[in-house]
Amino acid sequence: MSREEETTALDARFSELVNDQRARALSTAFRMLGGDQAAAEDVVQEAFVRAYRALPRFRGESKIQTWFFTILIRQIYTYRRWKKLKALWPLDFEENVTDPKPAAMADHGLRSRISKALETLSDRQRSVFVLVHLEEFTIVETAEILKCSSGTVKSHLHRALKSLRTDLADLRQKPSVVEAS
Amino acid sequence: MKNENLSADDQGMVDLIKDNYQAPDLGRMDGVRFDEKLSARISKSQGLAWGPWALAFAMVLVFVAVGVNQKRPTPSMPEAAITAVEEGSFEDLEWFDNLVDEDELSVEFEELPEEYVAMMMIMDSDSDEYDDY
Repeated sequence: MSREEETTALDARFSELVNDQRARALSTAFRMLGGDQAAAEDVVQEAFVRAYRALPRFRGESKIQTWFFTILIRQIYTYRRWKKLKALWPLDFEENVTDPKPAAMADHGLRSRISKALETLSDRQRSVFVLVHLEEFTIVETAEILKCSSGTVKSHLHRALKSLRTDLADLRQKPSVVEAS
Repeated sequence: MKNENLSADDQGMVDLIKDNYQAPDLGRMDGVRFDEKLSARISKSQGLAWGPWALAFAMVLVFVAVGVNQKRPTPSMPEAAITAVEEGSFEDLEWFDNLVDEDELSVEFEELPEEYVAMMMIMDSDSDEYDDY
């Protein structure tokens, strides 16, 4: 295969990856980044750029979706760390102080509650909860994405559910309050 | 999706989160705008791919240039000579002359602290060899 043909095949494969995973990746990032849509889009784009660069070296030992989500989750962790750093030294990053949240989030009490509850989880707990329960990855796929055992995934899931049960207890007991908020 | 491992209560909570916590524009997104931005970003990253290598190469060139032009490192004052100055046992100039050659000595004298030079001047008051100091 000539170099030109290789590039064409690579581009075609990449386009397929983007089309197949774009929506799910954005949804995952949105849910793992406190409902910040702009940040989610930025992180997903960066993950795709990294995937594009690494695609020639992808050996197909795992599903391409799992491979891409590993890149995405790492990118999400990186973004979250960077955000924590920005919070530590706000003066050095004044231009980013107004981190816009999507308008729909600003006045939506329920979303805000859910976002806060998810933010109290550890990175791993949040990842497994979002991947398994919200994005419907299997336990095995999630373990592959996070490079850990299925047992670890289950353990994090258990803790995440326990924490969310406590934080969102009132919402579960009084559905009318949920609707009112 | 119903998860068999969840109790009815937990399933209710998961559904609540799932239904009320999703990107607002996701349903309407056709992907065109996203793909256009992504294409631009990939093009930019390809353009920048050579950036780090070019920077590293430039830095190597700078280091080489600086290294070539840098003055030959001054040999450090032999430890024994410094000890001799400090202990005041520096009378035997012949011993000192044999220790370091003249060229190196002249450089070293320039870098010696003033009090050492003063001590040596006192000890060598009969000699006019280092009057300049």
